[in-house]
Amino acid sequence: MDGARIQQAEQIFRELLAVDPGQRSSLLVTRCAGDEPLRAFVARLLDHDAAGMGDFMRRPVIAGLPAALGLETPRRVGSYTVLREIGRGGMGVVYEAQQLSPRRTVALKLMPHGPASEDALRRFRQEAEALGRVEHPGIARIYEAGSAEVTTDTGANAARPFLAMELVSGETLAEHARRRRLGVRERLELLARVCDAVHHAHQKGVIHRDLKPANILVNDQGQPKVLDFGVAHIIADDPASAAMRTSTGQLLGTLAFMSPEQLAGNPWRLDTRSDVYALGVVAFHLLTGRLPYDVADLPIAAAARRIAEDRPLPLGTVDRALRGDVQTTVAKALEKDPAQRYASAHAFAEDIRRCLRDEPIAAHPPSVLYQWGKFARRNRALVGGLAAAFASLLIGLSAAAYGLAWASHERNEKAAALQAETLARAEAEAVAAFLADMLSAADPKRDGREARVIDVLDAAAAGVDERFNAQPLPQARVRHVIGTTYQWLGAYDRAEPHLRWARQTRQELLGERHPDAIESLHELGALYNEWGRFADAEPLNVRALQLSRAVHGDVSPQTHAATHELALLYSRQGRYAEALPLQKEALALSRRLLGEDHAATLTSANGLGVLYRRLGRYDDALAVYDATLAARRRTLGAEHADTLVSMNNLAHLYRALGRYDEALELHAHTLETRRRVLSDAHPHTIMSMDNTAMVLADLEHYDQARALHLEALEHKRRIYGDDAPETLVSLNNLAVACTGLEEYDQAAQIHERVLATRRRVLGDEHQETTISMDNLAQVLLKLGRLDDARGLFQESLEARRRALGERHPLFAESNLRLGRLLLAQGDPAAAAERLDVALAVLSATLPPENQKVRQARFALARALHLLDRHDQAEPLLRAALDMAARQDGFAAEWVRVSLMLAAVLAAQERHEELDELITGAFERALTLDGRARTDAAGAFDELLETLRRLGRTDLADEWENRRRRFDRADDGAGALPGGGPGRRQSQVLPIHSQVVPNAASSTPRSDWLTTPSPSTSPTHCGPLQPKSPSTMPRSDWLTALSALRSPGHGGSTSMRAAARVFGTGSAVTTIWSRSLSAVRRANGVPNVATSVPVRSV
Amino acid sequence: MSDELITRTLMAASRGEPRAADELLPLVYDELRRLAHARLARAPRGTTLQPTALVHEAYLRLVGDRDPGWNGRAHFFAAAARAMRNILVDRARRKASVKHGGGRRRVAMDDADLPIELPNEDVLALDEALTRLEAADPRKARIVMLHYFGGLTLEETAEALDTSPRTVEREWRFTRAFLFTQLAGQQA
Repeated sequence: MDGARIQQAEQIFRELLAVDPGQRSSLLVTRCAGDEPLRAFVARLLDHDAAGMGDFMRRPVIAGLPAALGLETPRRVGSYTVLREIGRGGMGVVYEAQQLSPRRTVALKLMPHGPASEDALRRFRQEAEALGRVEHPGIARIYEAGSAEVTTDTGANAARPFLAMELVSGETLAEHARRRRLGVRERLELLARVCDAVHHAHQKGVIHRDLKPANILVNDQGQPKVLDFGVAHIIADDPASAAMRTSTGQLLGTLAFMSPEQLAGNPWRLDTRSDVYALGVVAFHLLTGRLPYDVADLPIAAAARRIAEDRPLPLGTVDRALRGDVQTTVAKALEKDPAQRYASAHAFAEDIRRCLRDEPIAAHPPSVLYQWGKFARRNRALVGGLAAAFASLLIGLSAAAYGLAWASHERNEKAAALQAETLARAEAEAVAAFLADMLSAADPKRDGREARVIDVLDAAAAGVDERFNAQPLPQARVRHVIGTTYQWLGAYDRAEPHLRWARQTRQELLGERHPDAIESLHELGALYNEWGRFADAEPLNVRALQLSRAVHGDVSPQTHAATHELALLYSRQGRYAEALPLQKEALALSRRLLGEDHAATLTSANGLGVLYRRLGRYDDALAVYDATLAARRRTLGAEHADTLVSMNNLAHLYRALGRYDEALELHAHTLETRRRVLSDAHPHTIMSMDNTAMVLADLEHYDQARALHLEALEHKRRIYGDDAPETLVSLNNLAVACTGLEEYDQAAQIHERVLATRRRVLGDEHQETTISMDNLAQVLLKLGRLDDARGLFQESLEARRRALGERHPLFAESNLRLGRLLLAQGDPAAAAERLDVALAVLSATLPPENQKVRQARFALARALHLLDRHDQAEPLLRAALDMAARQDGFAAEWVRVSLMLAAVLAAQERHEELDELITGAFERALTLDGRARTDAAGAFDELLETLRRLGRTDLADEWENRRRRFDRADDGAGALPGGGPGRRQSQVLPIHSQVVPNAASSTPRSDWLTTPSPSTSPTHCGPLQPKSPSTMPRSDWLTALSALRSPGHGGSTSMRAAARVFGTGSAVTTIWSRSLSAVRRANGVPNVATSVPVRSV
Repeated sequence: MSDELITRTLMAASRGEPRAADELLPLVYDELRRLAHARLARAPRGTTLQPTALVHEAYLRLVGDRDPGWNGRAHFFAAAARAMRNILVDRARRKASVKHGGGRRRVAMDDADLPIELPNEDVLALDEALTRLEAADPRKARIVMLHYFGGLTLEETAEALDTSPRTVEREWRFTRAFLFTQLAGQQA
């Protein structure tokens, strides 16, 4: 029916509705003028209209706009009578309401939608109960929490959670101050009282998390009242609200009052000091009417960055009257590093009151350091990680305050304390002056170019001796600052003399137990630790921990830092056994102090899980991760950042366990959730991109992997800069994906760039630098540049030997890689030497069934076999066989090891077990498919080769015949070696389309070079002499490689290419030829003579 | 982030920028689907999602407490109505295909069956009739979208269409009867 016709019908319909029903049918006939279909149609319309059509289209799909948005004021909520709306926000609407019993007027906060679950509701009630125990005149009390049916004028709605709170009638802090025209002193007094109230709640274990002027009212008696204490947290516990809270609308109002750690989205790092920060912003706002950062017109991300990085506006620049101590006090509350803030709201209140009494305050002016921080940030793009250097500078000066505390604590003498304070001040001033000089020397405006931090440091280091000739303690402090900055720049060698000097001087002049001395000890130990000089680090770290415990106590931040450092050291050394108890100790301590389910405890537990994973104790790791994940889900919700960390770690473990599909699903889920809950640009989200992409690469979806790595890379370049270590990680992964896509030139180019940058930024011996060497070498192998690859493997190995020592797993891995390459290059003697080291270290640090241990064991056995050291090969193979027999899913390995053992026994003329071994291997081989089966065939061919080489042609022929019988016994398709090229086919999970919207699907393929394992290693080819592959045409090399990867595919072309590359008599060509024959045999193709003469090894 | 985008888009739509309204649809659609998945992930099996609750939550997530004004809200609901229509039709079509032995096809999660509560009306027939009506008389189709799918009252619908409530009431009365005949005709 076209539009004109409908409008015609409508016109008549309307006219008829206007007339009396009795006249309609006759009028209808007239109006339709003989158009019978039209008449019938309108008649039907009228009939339906008259009949009412029941419910048809009466209930809208989405219920009404105002009701849906909660714009209707409810009349009742449970037993509360709603009087009027007071305010509304994304977290719900607040009403003034009447409670029946006890009879009182309350502020009733109604959540926007129902509880997510019974569990969530129970938790909501419990936590509200805890909040209810906070009683202080400065805090609005929480009376009741629960879920109740909401009744509106249009009827009853579903139950919604509510909170009943003390109703505060009054005005906001700012309104109060403005209306009463309060002066600075009165405002400061008010602030101190707010701090008192906040401190009271802190002592009851409650953090506000959402302090802002709108949440602080002043009642008629002039009493400030803090509203919504802890409410943000219990509401955010509901996952739906938690997600909502991160929505921009919610953030906007509070962003300016959020501490950098809160903005970093790391809720477990929130503590009372985050509230101190918010109090600092409230103070700033109350005193000046402005915010310390101008974020009003910025997009969220930019605003967050400004708060995290920029220096806050000094109070004095807004109002000169506020310069001096008030400015310093507020600035200390606004410190970016929580450790640098007032430790409590109480301490903040104390300093405010000191300002009021004109007494010296505890905070120190930070201005010079701020300049330094700015300078460091300017240069961060150059050196990476310099924000941390900034932090270390701040630690330097605040140590003066520790010194003071220590003096009064240790001697408890006022005079001594005063003296210490004077000293500390003098020291701080001297240092500040020196740093200011340094900065002005480096002022970019002076010579028109940006000075490099390291140049400035060099200049400073050269002048420090002269300048502080007779002032050892100030000199120590300056050297400490210089040293830690060098350290952050990775210039460890230059850092060392300064830190050593500082440590020695402080120890001699202050005594070992002085906090400054401990600090220096700790820092020097940390330097050695990071440098990789573990032997030097260890005694320092150990001592620093002892002293921290003795001086600062077991539960102090210093002791925690020292414990952490030592655990880190052991972990880096690969001394997991020693790291483990430390980690456990931290966990136990945290459990005792904070409870089983506390976020910090769960973080410790997570750390333990990580350690277990590194230890290869995957079962334990799995148990810990599972438990931690469950607890975090329960206590924090399914979408809490910590919960997502747990998911990420679990997925990572799945990957280590080879459970790639599960790993991918979990990583993808985590990524998707993080994108939604945290934003695309959050560091955690970006990490998820990389991790998801790595599993995608494992599953050979290289296109998708590359797309994700590229996305991560873009974010990281923006956030960290091009040369930052974080960025390099993504770049490195990207190159690995390119390798998978066989874009070797590109991969090599990227790896070369990453390697060069890492050499420059991190140094030649840094772990990540050595990883780059290894990765580049892997690509060079692909490009046929075997000698270049070997050079890099060797360099990586030497670097690790020096930096990590010979007992480190990474050093062992280097030996493994180099050994395998040497074996492939036909140097079993050199290979055996490397592999021997690899096996010894790996089996000392990893469980016997660990893949790397197995690789090392098998490769070493092969090398020994080739060297005719059969008696040494045999026990290795027996151990391998024993291990493979005990594990599920190791059938392919069992087959390979059996056949290898058979070869070793045959070489020793020991035939007694041969029959059993080979028959067993055959039977197991028939259960294999894919590449495993092809490999088994290759291994069998090699055994025959060995037998023939030993002159046992009779045995070889006999087994050849028996194999044919096996082949026939099977039904062709399953015959040995069968199964085609043995590519691992993985399921493409549907979720990919969400993770990587536009990634083209990639062809799964496998590469023995990027994923070396005994089953795919070419080393079973025996010695081979590449004919200078580096000078070979690349296409030949690639064809030859593909022949290696999938013998039987590519036919004679690949074989000829192989012959060109490796030489006609090489083992590669031989093995390829044999495999081709085997495939043809299996497929019933007669074994045609090839144009390449085949010679046995 | 999409929520910033959506505020800007809502504002633009309120100012009458014609393309803005079109840009809203995919934003709201994606959000609804994402929310539905998220809700399902933590809901017990067999849960049916309420369109109203979903749209409500999407609104709070995307717009939060930055009230875009009445006009902005109406635009949001118009977009939500269109998105929900697509989702419902999808759901109904899937149900029908299962009934007729269409079988279970392995689908990407994005296309997975979302157990959204279907209205009493025959969604597929209604969708077809509405599609025809859109071609023949777009204005009436728009009333259906705003009032029936989007839940705007007739007064609000009139306001959104910048016309008088009386006109919309009359048109709605006719359109409802019209669609009823269309659906009844199909069944006959």
